[in-house]
Formats: sequence, structure tokens, C-alpha cells
Amino acid sequence: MPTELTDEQIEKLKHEFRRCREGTPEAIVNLRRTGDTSLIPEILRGIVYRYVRPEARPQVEQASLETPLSALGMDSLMMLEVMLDVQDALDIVVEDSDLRGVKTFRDVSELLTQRFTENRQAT
Amino acid sequence: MSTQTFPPPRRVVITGLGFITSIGNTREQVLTSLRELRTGIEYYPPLERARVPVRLAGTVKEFSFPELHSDEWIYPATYTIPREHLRSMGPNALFGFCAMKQAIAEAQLPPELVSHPRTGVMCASGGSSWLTYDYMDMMLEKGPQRCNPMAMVASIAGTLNMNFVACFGIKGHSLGFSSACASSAHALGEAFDRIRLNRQDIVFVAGAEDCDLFSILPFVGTRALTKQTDPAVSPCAFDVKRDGFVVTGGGAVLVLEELEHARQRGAAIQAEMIGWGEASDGYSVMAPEPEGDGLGRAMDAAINEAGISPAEVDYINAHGTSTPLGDAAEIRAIKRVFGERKGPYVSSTKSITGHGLSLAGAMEAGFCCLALQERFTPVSANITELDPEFASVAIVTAPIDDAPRVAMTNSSGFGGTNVSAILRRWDEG
Repeated sequence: MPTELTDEQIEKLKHEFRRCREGTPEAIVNLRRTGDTSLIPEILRGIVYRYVRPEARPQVEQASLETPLSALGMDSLMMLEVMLDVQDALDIVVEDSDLRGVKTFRDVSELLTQRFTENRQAT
Repeated sequence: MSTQTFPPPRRVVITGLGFITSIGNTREQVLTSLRELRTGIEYYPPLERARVPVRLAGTVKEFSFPELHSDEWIYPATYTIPREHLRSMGPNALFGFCAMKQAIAEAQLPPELVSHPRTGVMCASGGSSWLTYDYMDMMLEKGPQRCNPMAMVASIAGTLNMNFVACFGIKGHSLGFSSACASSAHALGEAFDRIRLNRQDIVFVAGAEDCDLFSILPFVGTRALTKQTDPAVSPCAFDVKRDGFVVTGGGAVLVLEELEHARQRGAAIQAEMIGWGEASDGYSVMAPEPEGDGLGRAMDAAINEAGISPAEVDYINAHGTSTPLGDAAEIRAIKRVFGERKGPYVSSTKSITGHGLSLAGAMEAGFCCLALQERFTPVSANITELDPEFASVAIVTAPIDDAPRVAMTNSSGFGGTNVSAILRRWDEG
């Protein structure tokens, strides 16, 4: 079911995520509107891009779904920052315990997709 | 009978300075402002929007903090700060970080001496009320687990030393000081002692404060701030019309180093610190003891430790906040310590910088170092009618052709805490 966002909500999302990789704020708005979860891996890539050191950004561009986030020079605090942004972007809640054993882009994307879908169904 | 002899006390010199202040963000800018009496104080629009009867602040130029997220903060392009350092800072830690970079460069300290078991940091900052407020608001609204995990270390009073240890790999002593407006003066004294006692060879002394509505409003509540709107009129320490101070922020760092250590590595010595003293008023949580009892005893102790006579002190950078009670208490203490003769020269640089609170002691010790090294006596701005009670004191109301050889800097804080430190011109080659 598509969800309408107000102009104010769209502007807020675009502002909040403007420091992410190009195209990320639009992908977030698109996901929130359409519920198209295939956008989630690219949204995650766009948010990770914001938090890694500038020299690691080319690696983020080239990362596959099997790339562990730790391979991009991310420490546990960067991971937390990414998860805070992701929760705001997707309007979901991820518990700390959900992150145990989550290593690759695929692991994180699957977790986020699951939470996003549950959230949509609940509302 | 014991024949034990003690080695002569280790001497402490200053080998580097760094400034992010309302009157300049480099040594050269600060020097020019002090020499030419250029004020860093200006009309601060957020105060008018807050509908309080105060208009002035000693703003820090070239920095801006439009949002909570540090990615949006603006600071001079000369500084490169990795995100993993910036994310745990508040504005005061960022100011301090930039001042620290300057001080390390000026002292020509290689990384292996910055990060060394015999190199420490003594810091003072009141923390960031802005970050505390906004992060608490976020925690209550969204829950603490949806809030920046660095919120606490970026906000609390120990933020400066905690960030410095991480950013600069400090391996020696690290400590924060919290004695209100004497905080970084206490840090300076403690750094001096630790080098004298052979516990450290180098200690960075740092003071820093935010400068925003959150750092100013609590002082409006105390009725301690000037209501004047023109920085060419107020603050006016020692003038009859003085009606309070102006708040400022920024960061200041001094590199204190043991003399032989500095000599062996060929460091450029800027001045020597020769003593300090501290004493409390035992009087009031906020008001100074009217006769400046504690501050007078702090000055006596500093002179005694320096092993000089009062007559050898030829410049005092006064605490001089421009409050009616504070200035009077300090001048009475000066008269008692130095007698009713003319001299030493006295001025308050707060009349152009504003009052730096936890930053003030380090910033003004840095100014004294500049005055000794560059051979000038800072002027006390905005005096049009000297308080007649202070007439017997050599308050510097206009530029004079005289350079200090021994300079004293005073700091007093809430709770009636007082610190006085003495620096001497370095002319031993």
C-alpha cells in the first residue's frame, strides 16, 4: 500500500540525509512512499557512505552484498551511528540484540527489510 | 644529623601557545587585537530573540554550529578533523582542539613527544549546556538508544580532557578542573606543580568554553552581565559605570615544559612560569569577599613561591570582570599586597575579550606570555571615568611605553576560589 508523505515530511527527510551518497534521500522518500524494499540495500550503502572515512568511500561504492561492514573501516560507534540513521530513514526500531551476528550488507539489509515489512503490516 | 641535599627545583617554561578567542584565532590576530585594543565583543542577536535584557557577547568568529550534528559545523579550513574525533566533541572541545593544534605546532613538538608517558593534559571546560539540553530533549522524545552514543562525552564537564586524550594519544596525566572561572588557572598551577615535582616533563594546559545562548543565559539569571549594548562602552573594568561582564567562549592552550627538556630539544622558550598561589574566601557562594581576602592571599602565595618581592611584579592581568563588587574586591587586594604606591600596572583584557569563564585563566596567562615576549603592556579598554577608589593603582587606561618583565595573572571563581600565577620574561638565551 503506498503511503502519502506530506511535503514537510519529504523536506525533512531530504534535509536529514543530504550528507549521504547522492540519490539516497530520494531513495528513502521513494521507499517510504511505495514500500519497495528492494531499495533498502542502496539506502544502507548511501548511509554507510556518510559515516566511513573519506578514503574508504570508493570501497563503499564497490561493496557487494557479501562485503562485511567491518571491511570498510567501520568501528562499533560508526555502526551505531549508521543504525540510528537507518532507523530514522525507515521509521523502524532495531534492537541492539538484533545486531548480533549481523556482519555483511546482506545481513543488515535482510534485517532492515524484515523490520520494515513488519512495521508496515502493523500499521 | 642528616646531610641530605635536595636538587634545585625544576624550572618550568612555556614553549607553545594556541588561541581560539573572540579577539582572534591565531597568535598574530590576538597580538594585534591586544596591542591595538580591538574588541571581540559584539551585538549577539540570539539574546534579543530570547527577550533578555542583555545584548553583548564575545563571539568566536569563523565557527558556526547551526545543528546538533557535527557534520554541519563550520570551522576554519586550516583544520582537518576526522569524523571519529569530531563526533565526540561539543563546540568547546572543537575550539580547544584547534588551539591545541596551534600550540603543538608552535612548540614544534613531534608526535612521539605529544603522545608520551611524560606528557599530560590539564584541562578546564564547563561542558556544553547546549548539547546537554538538546540531547536530553532527544533522549526523552526518542529514547536514549536512538540518541548519539557520544552525547554524554560530548556534553559533560570532562569533555575537553577526554577528547584530547583520544585525539592526541595523550599517555601521561590527564585531568579536568572545575572551579568555575578559576578552572583553567587551577589547571595551569597544577601543571606547573607536576613538572616541578618531576612527575611530567610536558603538560598541555587547556581552557575552553562554548559561546552561545546556553552558555550566556544562566549568567543573565545571576544579574552579573552588563546591560549596555555598545562594546565601546562596556565592559569597562575599573570604571565607575561598570555594570557587569560579557560572556565569551573559545579555547586557549599553553605548552608547559621543564626547562632542560626544552633546551635539549632546542625549543623556542617564550616565558618562564615562576610560581602560583591559591586561596579561598570562605565567604559566599557567589559574591567575592569585599576586601578580596582570598585573592590577596593567593597573590601573596604566588609571590612567595616565585621567590621575588612584590616590587618585582610590574604587570597584573587582573581578573577584572567589570562587576561592581568583583573589581572593588580585587583592587583592594592589590593595594594590600603591593602597597599604595603606583605600580604594578594593572589592566583587564576582559574588557575586549569578554569573560571566558573556565577558559579565562589559560587565555589570560597566554596573553601575559605574549606581553612578556612581545614587550608591551595590555591596556584596559573603555575606561572614561576611573573609579576614584582605584586612583592610587596604576590602571592602564591608555597605551604606555613600558614592557613588563614579570607578569601576574589573577582568576577568581564562584565559591570564592582564587588563583594567581606569575610569569617572567625569558631572557636567558
